Amino acid sequence: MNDLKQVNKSKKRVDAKAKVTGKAKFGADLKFANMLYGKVVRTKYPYAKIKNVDISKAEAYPGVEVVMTAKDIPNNTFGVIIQNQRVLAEDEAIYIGDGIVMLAAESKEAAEEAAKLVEIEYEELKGIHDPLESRKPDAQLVMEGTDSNQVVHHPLRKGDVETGFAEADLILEREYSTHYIEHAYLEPEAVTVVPNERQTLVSVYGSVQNPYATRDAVARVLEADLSQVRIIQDNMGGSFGGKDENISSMAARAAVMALETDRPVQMVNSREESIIESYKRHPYNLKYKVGATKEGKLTAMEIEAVADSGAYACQTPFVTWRSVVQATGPYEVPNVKTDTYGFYTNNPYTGAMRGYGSPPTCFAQESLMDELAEELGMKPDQLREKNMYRQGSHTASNQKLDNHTVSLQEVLDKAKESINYDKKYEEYSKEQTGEKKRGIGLAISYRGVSLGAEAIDTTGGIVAVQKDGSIILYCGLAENGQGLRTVFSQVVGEELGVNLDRITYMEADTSVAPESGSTVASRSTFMGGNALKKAAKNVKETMIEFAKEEYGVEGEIIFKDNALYTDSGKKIEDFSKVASDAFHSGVFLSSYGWYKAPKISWDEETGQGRPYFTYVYGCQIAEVEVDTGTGQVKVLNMAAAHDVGKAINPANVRGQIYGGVVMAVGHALMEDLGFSDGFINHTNFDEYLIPTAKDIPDIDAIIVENPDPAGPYGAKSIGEPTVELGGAAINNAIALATGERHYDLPLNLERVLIGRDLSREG
Amino acid sequence: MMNKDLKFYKATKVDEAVKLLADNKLKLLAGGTDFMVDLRNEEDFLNGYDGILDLSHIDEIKKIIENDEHVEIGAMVTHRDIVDSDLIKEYYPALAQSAGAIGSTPIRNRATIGGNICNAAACADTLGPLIAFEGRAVLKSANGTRTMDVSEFVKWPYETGINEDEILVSFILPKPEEGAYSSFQKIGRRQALAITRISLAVKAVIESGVIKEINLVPGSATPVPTTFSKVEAEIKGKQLSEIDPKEIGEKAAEEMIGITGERWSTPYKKPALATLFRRAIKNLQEEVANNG
Ligand SMILES: Cc1cc2nc3c(=O)[nH]c(=O)nc-3n(C[C@H](O)[C@H](O)[C@H](O)COP(=O)(O)OP(=O)(O)OC[C@H]3O[C@@H](n4cnc5c(N)ncnc54)[C@H](O)[C@@H]3O)c2cc1C
Repeated sequence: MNDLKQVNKSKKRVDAKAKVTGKAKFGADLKFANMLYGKVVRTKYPYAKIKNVDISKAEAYPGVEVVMTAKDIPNNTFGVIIQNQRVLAEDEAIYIGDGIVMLAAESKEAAEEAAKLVEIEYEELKGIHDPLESRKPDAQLVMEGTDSNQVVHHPLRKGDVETGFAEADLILEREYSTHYIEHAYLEPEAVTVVPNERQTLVSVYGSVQNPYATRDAVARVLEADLSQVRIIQDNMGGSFGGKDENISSMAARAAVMALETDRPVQMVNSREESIIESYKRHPYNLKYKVGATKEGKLTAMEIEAVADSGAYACQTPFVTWRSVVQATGPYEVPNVKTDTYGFYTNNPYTGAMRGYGSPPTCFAQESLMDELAEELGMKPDQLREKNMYRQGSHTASNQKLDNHTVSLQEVLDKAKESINYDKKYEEYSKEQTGEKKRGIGLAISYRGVSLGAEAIDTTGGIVAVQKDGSIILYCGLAENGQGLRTVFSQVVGEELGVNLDRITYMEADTSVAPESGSTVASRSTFMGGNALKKAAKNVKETMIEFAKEEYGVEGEIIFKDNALYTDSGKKIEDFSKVASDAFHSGVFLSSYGWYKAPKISWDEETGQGRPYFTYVYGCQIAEVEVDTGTGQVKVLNMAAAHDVGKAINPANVRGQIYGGVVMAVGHALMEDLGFSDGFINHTNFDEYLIPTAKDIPDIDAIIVENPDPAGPYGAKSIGEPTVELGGAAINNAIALATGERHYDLPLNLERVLIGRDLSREG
Repeated sequence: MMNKDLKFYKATKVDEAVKLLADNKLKLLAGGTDFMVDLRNEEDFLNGYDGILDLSHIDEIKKIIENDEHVEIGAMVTHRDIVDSDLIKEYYPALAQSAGAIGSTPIRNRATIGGNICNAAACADTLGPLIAFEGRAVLKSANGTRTMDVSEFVKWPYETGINEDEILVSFILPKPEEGAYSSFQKIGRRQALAITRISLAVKAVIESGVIKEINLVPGSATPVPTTFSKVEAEIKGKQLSEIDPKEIGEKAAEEMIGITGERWSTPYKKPALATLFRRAIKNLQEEVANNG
């Protein structure tokens, strides 16, 4: 293990050159002979009866091949968890992104012009736009066929909160809210469906984050076998959890039209279409009650979290489930009562977004811990140290943390040291005379790796050594820009002693690779790494056996530097020569690797059990400067320490940390859909603001490594933990700087200067 | 959809351009940074036009020229040119600061000062400084030349006093007097590519500690940036060091509300504008004190 050649090295990304030279093809770059261009006509109102749809003028427009409505779709509903998302709305539109008519034409221009000719008669209805309204027993129902607007309720009960609060010297009750977040991937959704291609009914190409989920949806909508629907992923211009259900619906629409016309159909969203139709991060309303002794020991926590699911269930049941497990933060609390809900509204539907249910609860709970520390007259880090998980601690779900290293102290110490926390905290706690005031704030978290008790957690991969010694890898997990091709190549390269230039990781193709679950939950390095490592090990064993016989060697055989060596260091043969000899002797040099995650358990009634098989730990500390005369906030520095188990590629890990921090800065300070009564007013990046290069703080990305016994080379996760801490850290830093606490996001100019948000919409 | 019959003209001389304008109804194109956005967003943007006239090859209006009395800034001078100009930085610091606060490097490389003023948004960043420096706009048509105060030129958001057959060719700014100071402040939602929430351009002439002249022009505070004459009258002729910046800030906020009434954004803009005025006066006091 000490002599790693590929793993734990900052290897250059295997796809870097194609991307920077423009050779890499993205969804919208594809062209097929005879291709049509698709377009969707969406509702004008967030909630309306569709009284009449007249497509005759659109059909008559020159170049239009097909115009279709919900009636023409074999099966109009799909969904990863609950199948209630509609490909097209039929009787009523229930959120502002609902599509009603789709059409395809010879050119984009013709499709756009024809779309304008579709005549839809609406009866606008008053919708429900607040989950706190839609939860009321007498609220009107958003979804047909339900008896309440509740999508899900996850209870968690541990100990007895009444007893716990009775033991407390201090009780704080606070309410928090978080807002919609748009994924803001650089590349809007793009899909091309080719009918009757290569033995399948449809081939779907595009910017698909989760090829198997999209295959499920398209097959369901077409009422076709999974084997007849092939999804091939193109390069992705970002996803962050955001190219799942919206891509599935786009693929389903294009597939229906492709089959109808027997021609390829391409659909590409404009930015406005993307922002209006695509799902968002769930807004949350959170109520927290916490009790502590005057020494700062937590005695009880009671939490109610209400998430806005919008018009569809989408991934609300799982997103809110992650909130449950992280709601109390990484703290030992003997008595816990948590209720987490999701409710339907006539708002944009909400689903997976990097962080998945944790950023809202982390924001609330780590802001609360800071305020509690202040009330108790303690330093924020001291209160945390008093209560945070350590080796052998029990979580709110009563899971004992003993199968991996609990490294909160280490991440906290390293982040503090990097940013000089103690000194700055002391300095910024004193009276500051100028109008620009500085503050420093921290947040810590623990986070379950992979899906946990959400769903079955398995991944498969194929390692295929070719007769010239080059290697092809297949896996159902997808390169979304996070660097998975490189990481998987490193794992296999390490196992087989082969350099990365001889390894090719194929794009995800559902008809070739084994179904591997979704590329979500920061699970890919762990799950796919384990599966491919297994496959590589199998091939290695085959090659060892062959080499022993073929070349008459004994003892251990070492694979390194593109060759095989004896344990005394004598070179046996080049890897390529062994591969060639083996192939010509009839040896099979490919293997499947299948990995099933370690056992977990969950009791739906009490929230007790082992929700995740292992956890990662992180600490981020933000240093800010607040202009108290204008409300402008500048994040100056951010220290981010994350335990990743083992960094397969340290440069990639740092990249994930930088990206996560920047995203969190955007979420915390400026991102805003301009949402009002079901309408989205900020539909492009001139108004939906995300950080520019100038808004990015100096970030110290600190990699902490405590190898996990179950991880490939000890690796765990990094993608999502990086984005869940920034909101609270920045909020806490602003509070120290200004002496004023905030409970709602975003912390924009208005909130910081006058304590509340303003909107043009009233 | 865009009318495919539109003609695209390119002129290399102002004379040639005004002649084309006399004969055709043409939409002018400078750096295109507002033009292209409008073209995409507004269905009827080019309705009624015969074509587009590209000004970006007319070198004679890309210059900054110093005369005895004034400085002439060509309409096709980019924000980048302004930021880079030592002359502007020395004579009109507030203008250089405002140009430097526009958009991002690529935008500043393309976008022109003429386009900024002709587009006439309430948040156009160079508008406040040009008014504060008492600039005049020079307009040319086939029939001749006329000039107009920049403060008169912009009538209403996105509406100017230019005629259809005219081109804005330059701005003429009087040279700064002895004891002239200027500054520009801008608040945006982020550090770059930020539309101005509120801004303030100030030009003052101080003579032995007394405010001899003062122009205070906030941006994005009123539909059209305008000098805040009540506040100006309040402090003109006074000893600078005796002015209470805080009080001026509050009065400026009142003056704004007097013009706009209470709007959705007023609860923020009121204290924010007060801050900008307060700081502008305070900085002026400090600067003057430092200069002895
Ligand atoms: C991403 C982005 C960020 C931006 N940020 C800012 C900012 O921070 N601050 C700010 O103030 N602006 C900003 N803008 C707006 C824009 O860049 C400026 O208004 C710019 O100065 C316009 O100049 P232009 O040369 O691009 O004009 P164009 O877009 O070419 O023209 C604008 C208008 O003026 C007319 N016009 C141009 N030149 C003349 C002329 N010589 N005579 C008569 N009419 C003329 C055109 O017909 C058109 O109607 C931004 C724009 C973008 C796209």
